[in-house]
Amino acid sequence: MTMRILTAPEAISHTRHVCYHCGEDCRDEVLHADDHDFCCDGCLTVYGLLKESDLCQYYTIDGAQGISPDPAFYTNKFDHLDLPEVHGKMIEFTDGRLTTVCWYLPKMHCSSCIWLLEHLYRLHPAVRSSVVNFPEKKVRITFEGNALRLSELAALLARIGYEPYLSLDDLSGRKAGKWNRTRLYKIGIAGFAFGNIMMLSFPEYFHLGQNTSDQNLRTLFGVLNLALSLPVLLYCAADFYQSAWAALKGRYLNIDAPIALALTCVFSISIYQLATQTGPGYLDSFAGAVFFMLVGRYFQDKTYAGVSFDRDYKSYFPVATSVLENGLETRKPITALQKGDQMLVRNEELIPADAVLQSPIALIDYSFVSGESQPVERRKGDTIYAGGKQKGAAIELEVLREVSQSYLTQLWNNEAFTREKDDAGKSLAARINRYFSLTVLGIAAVTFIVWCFVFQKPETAFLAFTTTLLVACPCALLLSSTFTNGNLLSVFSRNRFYPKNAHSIERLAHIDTVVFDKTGTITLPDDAEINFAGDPPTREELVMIKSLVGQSSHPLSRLLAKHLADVPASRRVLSGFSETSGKGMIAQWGALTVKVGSANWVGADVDDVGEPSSRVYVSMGGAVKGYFTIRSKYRPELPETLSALRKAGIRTYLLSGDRPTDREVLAPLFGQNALLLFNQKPGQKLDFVRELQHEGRHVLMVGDGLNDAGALRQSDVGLAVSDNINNFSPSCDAIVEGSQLSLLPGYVALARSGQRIIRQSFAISLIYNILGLSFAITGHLSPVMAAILMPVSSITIVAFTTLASNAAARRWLKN
Amino acid sequence: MRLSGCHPLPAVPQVVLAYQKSPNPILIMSALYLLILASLLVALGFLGAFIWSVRKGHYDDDYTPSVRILLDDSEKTNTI
Repeated sequence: MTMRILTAPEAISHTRHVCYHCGEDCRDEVLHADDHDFCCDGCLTVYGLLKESDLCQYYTIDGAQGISPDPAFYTNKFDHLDLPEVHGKMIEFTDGRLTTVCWYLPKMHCSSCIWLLEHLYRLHPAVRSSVVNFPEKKVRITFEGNALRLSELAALLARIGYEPYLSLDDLSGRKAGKWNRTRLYKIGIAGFAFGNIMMLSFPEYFHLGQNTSDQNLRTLFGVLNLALSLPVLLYCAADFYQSAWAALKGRYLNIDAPIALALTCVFSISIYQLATQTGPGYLDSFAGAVFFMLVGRYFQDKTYAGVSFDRDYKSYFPVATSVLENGLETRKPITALQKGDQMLVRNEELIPADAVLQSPIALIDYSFVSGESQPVERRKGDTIYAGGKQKGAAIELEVLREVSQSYLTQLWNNEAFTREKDDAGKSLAARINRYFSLTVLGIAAVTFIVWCFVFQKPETAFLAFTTTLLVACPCALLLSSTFTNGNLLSVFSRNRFYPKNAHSIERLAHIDTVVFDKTGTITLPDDAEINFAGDPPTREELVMIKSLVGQSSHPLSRLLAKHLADVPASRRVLSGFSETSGKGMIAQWGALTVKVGSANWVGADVDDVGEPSSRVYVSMGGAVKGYFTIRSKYRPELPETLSALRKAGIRTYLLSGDRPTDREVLAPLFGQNALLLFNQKPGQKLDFVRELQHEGRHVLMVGDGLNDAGALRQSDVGLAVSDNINNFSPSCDAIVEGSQLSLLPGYVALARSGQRIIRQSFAISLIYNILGLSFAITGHLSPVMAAILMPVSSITIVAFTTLASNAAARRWLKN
Repeated sequence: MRLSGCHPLPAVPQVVLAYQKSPNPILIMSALYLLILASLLVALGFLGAFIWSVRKGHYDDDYTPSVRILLDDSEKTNTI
């Protein structure tokens, strides 16, 4: 008997089976079909589905790695999609027959996903076409609305492993704009005008003669150049004029105001010269400047597909929840939830509204909402706040408050959320520009006065005035900052750090204080440090423990099961398994009774004197073997990161919503005890950041959950840590992947280098400016000189900023 | 190395000859007008093509098409 027990698990562990569908090692029992191994029923089902539709080519594509469908999926999960009020907002377009819907599928990860999702029509005849946008992880599906309901389509996707992510945000009717296209039109038209005007200006530069035919040509070129530059002025440059006007109305000077002035001057002097036939004008420089500035702005404002910075609780909340009406389960949109409704919340599902627990016991994971690392136990009659996730069996709850009034959503009423971070006049370019513009205007005015009144030549005065503005146009300054920031943005994103925009980078450069959240930010979300106290268990005992905890969905059991990943489990030998919620598990291993759970459950002596970590006790045949201690595991590179930050003169704080469990561990890392604060509520975190700002400090807040949303918003730079950037992260200025958090000191240093590069490239452009000014002031800036100076200085700046910022990136972000 | 003496001069293009000989340059000029307009029209055509491609969403996703083109689209496969 004993022999058989020992050999069975050993046999499993020796031959390694890899699942044909998902590519994972098969840890438990292996399923076979068509000479392939499968790790679970889910994977086998998807395989069967694909085989039936002759889609097995999926497995032959390089790097194909299927997705195991969510085992928690249940039929009717998407029934709410057929409700008229949800349906209407979810779809993009319908003509009554064909319907188009665009869904976000976070599980999409490789080229075979694209292939499979674009062959949906083979899985269901009513699907007409499906087109994947991989960077955004979205699929646009056109299908026959009469033959296939929206809920069936969502279920079909869920069955092959690509469950669409549907959140309350999808119902708010916000659709992403097509701003990108407008910018491209403008760049295209400005580039077209620039090239053609330059070509048509060449004959003039190489001296057309004075005879009639040359005069005729000159007129033709002038008319054509004017016609080409009109769309540049009226359409392409419109943004500069609008932004300048908005700034003037707000009584401040932004960088667009002097640019708009310079553009206007250049355009009017060109028209004057063409009309009086005194010269060809500076239309090529005009169009070129607009073209280069538009390209710079496009480069700087490029967004990352699939990364969103402006999420609030709405994108975290589901669209609908299960509601029990007269004992029958239906799906109801959560916006329609009313006080007194009976909700049914399953394992891993979010509780959408404040509610009273009706089931005997619930285990709620608030880590995302409050920062508490351990799930809390709630009993019948307790109030449960929205935002928690149920762990374990399904529970019933009675709604206490509507979604919009719940505890969690109150945080968004704080004034920090209504106020935009003040960027106007704060960027480096804007600050330099303030002095620069005044100096240029001063020089132009002096030049004008000297020519007008000293030399009595009003025409030359006018020419000198406008050409001064033309050569000293702050577009070089604009190009320095847009190209530096644009290049930094792409360097950062290559290192999986995603700043929201150029302003975020500039604010990052001025950081002198970093405040960390604990749970999920500096701890590893799905990992724990596990130690065994007592006699070290034998391999056979470990197999027993693994088999038991593998059956349970309790978070501690999950962590233990993960910890014992190399130990095989066997359900065959295990019998009589039962779990008592909140206590533990019991099962028979042959003749042996095995208990895993709380101290009470196994009958151990409790010597709990405020022991910080959680314990899981084990007993075999009535004898207590010992216990596992489970404590949060910190990111391994944390000490190094913190000391690097302090070396750079940055003060570090810890602000946790959790109990002060690891104070002794963390205090040496953060320097001193006083910098650690525990038991902080979301509002307190926000206030703490505000206090620091009142002391004149520039605060970078690093957090991950909804409980940090207020502090992220209040801080100068709110950095959200996410182990999967496509997952939910609260509203912030930048997102970083958890594994890259160790590079934080490098990111700050690089942002600081960026500011230096902007200053240096601006100094370079000043040399060109002085050269050009010396011609302009004397009234001798010829159009050909302007036409050479302008692109050469632009190209020098672009080349310098690109090279310098890449060199800085290599220096600060070595790996 | 008296290359200029050994080789005949390249033929002078007809247009230049006409320009040198013709008493009325208007004729040649009109050809120039025509060429300028034609070149502008060609350039406009390319601008139109660019705008059309942006409108059609060719610039909305610059990654997926590069993968899609490498995936075989055979209707039936025997490899299972």
